[in-house]
Amino acid sequence: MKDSFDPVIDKVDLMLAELCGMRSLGPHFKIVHRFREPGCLCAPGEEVFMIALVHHAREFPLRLSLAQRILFDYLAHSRFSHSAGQIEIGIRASTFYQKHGANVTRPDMNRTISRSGIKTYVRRIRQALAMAFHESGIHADPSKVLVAEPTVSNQVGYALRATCDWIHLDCVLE
Amino acid sequence: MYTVMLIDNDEMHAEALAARLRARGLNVVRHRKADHALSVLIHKRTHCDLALINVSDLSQPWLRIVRKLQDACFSSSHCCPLVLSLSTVKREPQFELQIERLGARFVYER
Repeated sequence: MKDSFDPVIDKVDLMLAELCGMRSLGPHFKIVHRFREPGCLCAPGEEVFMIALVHHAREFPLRLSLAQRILFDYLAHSRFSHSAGQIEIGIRASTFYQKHGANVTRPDMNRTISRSGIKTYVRRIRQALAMAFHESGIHADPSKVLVAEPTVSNQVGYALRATCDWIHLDCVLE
Repeated sequence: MYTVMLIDNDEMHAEALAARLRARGLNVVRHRKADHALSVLIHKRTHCDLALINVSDLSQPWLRIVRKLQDACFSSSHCCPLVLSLSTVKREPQFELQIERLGARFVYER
């Protein structure tokens, strides 16, 4: 039997599903790559243009610099944690990051991520996450989203506990 | 079991809704006034997963109340409810938009 509470109950169910997803998988992000050559996905030459938290069908862009966007994108591609050294090697070995933004032939679209700088980038990404969480009304701890997992030595592994979608914008050549 | 904090000054409405929520296996904690709910959240460090607020009373500054509730949750850091505001009266789209911009959801009971 339908009653006036049905829309409320439906919404409660939706929010419990949201809560459950957030607790088990983390928040959801949209990563926008632009300057794609038509038909390619995550191919060298694209730019990591924008990263946004998605909540209630709204986007809350993370205020990140180019190097921080590259690091976020790199971590979003893996469900395993990476040490600072592994991140440096991984980014250096990837043609996607080496040719970052090359489809528009601008030399300043690339960044070298050094092992020593990763700790700082992680801290700043967490600051940007905190701002987006506050703006969106999500009560989440940035250090539980971009986690630093200890190892048996003094090394730390970084991992992103979140779900991500990649959106591609085509390269428009004039 | 999920805990729902229900803030509703309409006794009959609150009772009926709480019964529906309990029938779905949810633990419901009722408050008549938002101020009381806020003080419980802050001082007694109670946990809740969802906060349902009846915003039907047009005389109340609901946007400010929702903002205060969220700020209290952010600063207390032990409780992080998602907020659903519900209304038995039709509200203008601008109100819904403002509520959703606060990160809360809105539902109209037909």
